Amino acid sequence: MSGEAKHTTPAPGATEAEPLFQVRDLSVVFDTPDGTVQVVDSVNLKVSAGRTLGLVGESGSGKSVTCLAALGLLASRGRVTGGKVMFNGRDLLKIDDAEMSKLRGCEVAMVFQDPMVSLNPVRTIGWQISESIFLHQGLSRDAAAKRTIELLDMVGIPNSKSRVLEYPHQFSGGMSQRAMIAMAIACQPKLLIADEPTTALDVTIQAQILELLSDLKKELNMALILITHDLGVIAEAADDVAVMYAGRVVEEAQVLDLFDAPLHHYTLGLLNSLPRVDRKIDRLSAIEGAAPPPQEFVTGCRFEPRCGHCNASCTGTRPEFTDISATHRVACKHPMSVSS
Amino acid sequence: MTRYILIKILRSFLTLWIVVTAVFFVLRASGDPIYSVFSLGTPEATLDVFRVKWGIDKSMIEQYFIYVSDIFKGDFGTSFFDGRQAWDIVMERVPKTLLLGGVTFSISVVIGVVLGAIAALKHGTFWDRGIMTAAVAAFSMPSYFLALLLILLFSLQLRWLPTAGASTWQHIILPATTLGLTLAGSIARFTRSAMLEVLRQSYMRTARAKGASRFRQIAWHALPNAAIPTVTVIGFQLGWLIGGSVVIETVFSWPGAGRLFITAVGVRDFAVVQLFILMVASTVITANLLVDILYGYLDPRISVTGDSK
Ligand SMILES: Nc1ncnc2c1ncn2[C@@H]1O[C@H](COP(=O)(O)OP(=O)(O)OP(=O)(O)O)[C@@H](O)[C@H]1O
Ligand SMILES: [Mg+2]
Repeated sequence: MSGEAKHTTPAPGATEAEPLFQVRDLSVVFDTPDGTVQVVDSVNLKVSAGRTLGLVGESGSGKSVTCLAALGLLASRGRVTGGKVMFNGRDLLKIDDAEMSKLRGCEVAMVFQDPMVSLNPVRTIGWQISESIFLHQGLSRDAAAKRTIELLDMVGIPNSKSRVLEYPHQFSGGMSQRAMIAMAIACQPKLLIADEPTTALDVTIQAQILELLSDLKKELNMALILITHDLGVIAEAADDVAVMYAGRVVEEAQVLDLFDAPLHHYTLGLLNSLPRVDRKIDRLSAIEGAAPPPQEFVTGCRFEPRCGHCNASCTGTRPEFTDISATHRVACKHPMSVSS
Repeated sequence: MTRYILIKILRSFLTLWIVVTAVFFVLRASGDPIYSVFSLGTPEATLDVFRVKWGIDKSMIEQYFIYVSDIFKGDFGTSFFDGRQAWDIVMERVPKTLLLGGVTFSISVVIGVVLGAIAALKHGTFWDRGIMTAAVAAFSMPSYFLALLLILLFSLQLRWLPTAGASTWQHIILPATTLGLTLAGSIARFTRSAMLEVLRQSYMRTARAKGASRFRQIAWHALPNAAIPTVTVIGFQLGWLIGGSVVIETVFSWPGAGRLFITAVGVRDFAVVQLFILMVASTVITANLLVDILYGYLDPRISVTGDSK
């Protein structure tokens, strides 16, 4: 693939052991008419090539904003107030616009949450996909057109030859999602962030898209970040998981550890609200209340108002991370295994 | 496509017919043209000769049928004044009106769209506020007032530009500026809001995420979308432009059809007034038809073909 040649080599500092993509202490605020609100608070994430990080949390917990901020795609009201975003040994928050444009769509790509509105209504699907190829790989018109059709075949869009000429309004939700994925993988990125790629799709299509993503991940040895609020999706597709609550990561673990031995009470609440064949949903143990909006974040543990296991020490100061093992850590003063 | 356009064209003819009919009867209800030509003391016998000659001795309904059937023969009647064909009299003036309108329209569209787009791209900055203040000022000032201001400044005070007539190229500057400022102001406002709306859309973020340059994002992703509502609005401004030019031609003694119209109304020269209004209506209807076609071409979601699902 000629695109390979254009990929930048890692900076001297990068070593094999270091993860491909690492978000460190990232904080994001939005300027709203009612003042500045902090939406993301010192978030850490990492993912290596060939692995899938599942980012899970209720609606409004800051999953999308974290990833958008990391790629410099925030809305104009949003600002990063601190942290680093290391990709291949370089800090994405420090490189200039031109450099960033070369990386985006080429080495790092993102599939947005709402595919129907993320496609340009006045351009054909084919035009939009081949634009990535044209921008980063310098293929001829014919070669780009051929590659576009290949990509549509790859993501399972039937009649690809005629569908490249169609407009987004002629595509269903599932097909738009696939087209967005095709656009994102057009240049064989090293990192793909998929924001709720299966929400609002019916179950069979959901499964197909997840399988497609994990096939692509293996085929291209990508690092994949999968954003979802559905632990079922995590169980199916993720290797590692980060659980977010109210703008913070509260627990990180490998997927099996998280399901076997969740430590944060919020994680447990999420798990308990997941329907399972071997257990009826216990209404009482599902989380009471709703996730707070950023204006109502409390100073201590942000889950404290909804948590049944807290005491005075939970309020006031932010709970630090406790490492339970090399891969499992939790930000809670009374984690599950200790308190139960 | 053809079916859709055909229906549109049929509807246009219906509209034209209504306009022609309304103007015909309103004009005749407004008074007897005979008294705008002859003084009061003229003997009735003489007046009757002219009534017969002009065809206004017959009943209104009869006159109406003669008028409409003559239109289909390409005869728009004769002027009560110099007895020439109304068509010849109006067409003599049309080139000057087209010149003024064409120059004004094209310059205003370019200036309005460019300034509107700049204001949107620099949203909330000094540029945005400056452009919008100027646009609102230009847009909300009555054109005759603006005309007087410009005449005071550039003709009487500075003595740079002529105010009346059309003999040199400098003569077009003041009338075109007066008309154009208002038009450009409203186009700038519409372009800005259309552009702001587009810039907020998720697909603009997609373009950024693909690595498209800022220029490419604007030229290839934003503008084609912003053009859709803007084209409609610009199309509708054409009617306004014609109305405005009637006033402006009079203020600046520009020898165009608009000024002719004002004179003809004053003396109840039926044929000339009717033909002028028929022409204006046809122009506006044609412009709307063109906008419709262009709209379908710009927006793939509008099915003009009628064969997509
Ligand atoms: N442009 C914006 N202006 C102001 N606040 C914003 C903006 N975008 C997001 N937010 C706020 O940031 C917080 C986090 O939003 P985010 O979209 O990251 O949530 P999420 O975890 O992705 O949720 P979901 O599952 O619904 O996608 C929310 O409280 C939201 O209101
Ligand atoms: Mg989201």
